[in-house]
Amino acid sequence: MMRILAFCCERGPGEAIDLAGEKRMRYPADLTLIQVPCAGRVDVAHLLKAFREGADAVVLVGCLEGNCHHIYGNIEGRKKVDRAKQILDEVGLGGQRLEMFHVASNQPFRIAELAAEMASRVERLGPNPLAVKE
Amino acid sequence: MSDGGIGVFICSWGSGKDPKLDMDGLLSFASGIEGVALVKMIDRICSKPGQKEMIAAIKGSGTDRFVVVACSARTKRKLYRHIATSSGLHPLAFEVASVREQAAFVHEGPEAQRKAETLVRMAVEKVRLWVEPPFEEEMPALRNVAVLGDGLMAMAVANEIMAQGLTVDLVMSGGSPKGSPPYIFSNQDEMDRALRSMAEASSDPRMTTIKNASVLDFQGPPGDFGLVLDVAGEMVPLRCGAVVLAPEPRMELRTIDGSPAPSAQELIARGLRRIVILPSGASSGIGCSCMTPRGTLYALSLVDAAPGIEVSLMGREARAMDWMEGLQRLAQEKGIRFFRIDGEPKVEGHAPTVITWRDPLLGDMRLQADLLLLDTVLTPEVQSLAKAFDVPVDEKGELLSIDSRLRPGETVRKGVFAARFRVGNMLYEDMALEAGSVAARALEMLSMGTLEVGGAVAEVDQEKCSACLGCLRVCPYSAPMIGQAGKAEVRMELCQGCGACVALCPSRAIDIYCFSDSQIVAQSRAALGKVR
Repeated sequence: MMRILAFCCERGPGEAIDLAGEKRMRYPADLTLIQVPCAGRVDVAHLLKAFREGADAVVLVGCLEGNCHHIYGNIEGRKKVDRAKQILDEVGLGGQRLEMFHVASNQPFRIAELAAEMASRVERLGPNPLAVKE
Repeated sequence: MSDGGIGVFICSWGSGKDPKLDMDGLLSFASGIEGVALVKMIDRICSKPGQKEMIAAIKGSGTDRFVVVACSARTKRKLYRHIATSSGLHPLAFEVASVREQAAFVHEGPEAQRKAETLVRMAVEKVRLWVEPPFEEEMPALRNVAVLGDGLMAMAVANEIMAQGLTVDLVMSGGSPKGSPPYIFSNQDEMDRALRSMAEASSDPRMTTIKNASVLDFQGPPGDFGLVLDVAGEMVPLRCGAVVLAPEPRMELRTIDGSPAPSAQELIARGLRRIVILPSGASSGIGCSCMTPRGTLYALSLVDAAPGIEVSLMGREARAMDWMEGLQRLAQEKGIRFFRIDGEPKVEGHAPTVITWRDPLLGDMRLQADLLLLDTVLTPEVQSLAKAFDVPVDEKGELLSIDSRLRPGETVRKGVFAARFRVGNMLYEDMALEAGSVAARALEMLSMGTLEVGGAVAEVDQEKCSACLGCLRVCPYSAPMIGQAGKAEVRMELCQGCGACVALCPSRAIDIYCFSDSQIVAQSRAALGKVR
């Protein structure tokens, strides 16, 4: 089983997650969601630590660009993702294991889409080598 | 961190109905987690007996924080807070594992069960590290409201607020109330009353009118906002407890090239016989796409003056409440035609203009018009107000409401309220209702005289702070400042808890309550199965 960890803003994306539930949408159980107050709350360290703990892929989900409740929290989050991607490339884990997604509250289907997208990436890249070693 | 242990409450809803989750299995799983002192199945936490049972259990066991395994916090947060405070705990001393929305509804069989267990584990690990946030309910709120707008809407809001004993600063962009009101009155009496109350309001001693003003700056916490106005070139400060944005809409019936709708005489003189009125929203997406009473009134004025004129009104739907229905019946009797449109109509050519569209009942339709008129509602001030108060504008060009059904009138800025006009109808009575409801939201906030601040706010560890000013730059609310000691401190009353400064701080000096670094790391460890 894959382990995909998603840090989700509790506003737009959080709403979308609840809506996905209410609409009985199906998405792989590999995806586990952690809600944060805003995508800008997530730090490079959180993203990298998740890989060290064995996540095969990590996702940051923020509101649509220009639609952040905290004005530019999602852009701040994107900067962190870009920085962490660089580090992942440098250490050889592959920046592709990490991605930023923007989801609005009325787009529950995007949760399923992002789960499928990351699952296909992990299939291509294989499981997290740090997790295999243990 | 937790002295009294953690309580886990599982709502039994679904144990019978939803075969996917084994609630008893979840119960025994939760009781096996270290630090969990109390695990209890509650028959429907949202029911009164369920709440009572839960409150009694918390009081009896001495737990100081709990996890609710039930519906998502988004729907039930107020209820869970109520349970926490009723049990003598801090209102934020809980965590929610939304096993329905994130497990039972979206996964199948054993996967759903495993996911639910993970969610419970994550919630327990998070609440274990919960630190009591500061809570202050004593922050005083100013008892005056700044109402921004030029017309009847702003006056109506001001009247409602003054009726409750608060004072109003009316900030107008122009020099006097704008021309004739754009609303449709059901009778002369209603119009007279509206104009009279407007005149009364302007002479009310509780109202200060500031004319020719535009907003230069907007700062401060809700309850004590500081505005800087540009009044005819001079900077004027204004303090207020809340802000209501009430820009007056302007309605226009215009031809496609922007000139005003001609009178009946003009139409006859120019030999224009077939007139079509289309709501601007139907073709441009800006404004409403309904047939409006204003269009009907204009059409009636034409056929009364010049019987040879054929008028057709189009729209996605006709909203004809109350007395408006009689107006539309009268119009139909006089030969005015109403067409419904589905999707976007196609407009081609110029005098005659050919309009093709789809009618939901009649199918494909085609009509020739000598003159096409667009029925438009514009609110020119919206853009500048949106910019000044940093309130987003929605796709229809209205000030974005945080939730038009559950929290009408509220914008994303706490303490900034917006009166949105009902674009379709422009009935005066609708506007008066909207003004009243927005005023009520502002009054609700200020009437207690104090505001609740605190909760999930950021805090700086002064020992670690290196005064790099990063937090000052990143904060969208200007909450951090450099204090007396030369170190950053976050003003609790301004902090909205987004955590951008926490993630940015290079010295790791800032942390946020309820979403601390250690909590997020613990949650991700739990999610990845790295907890005992």
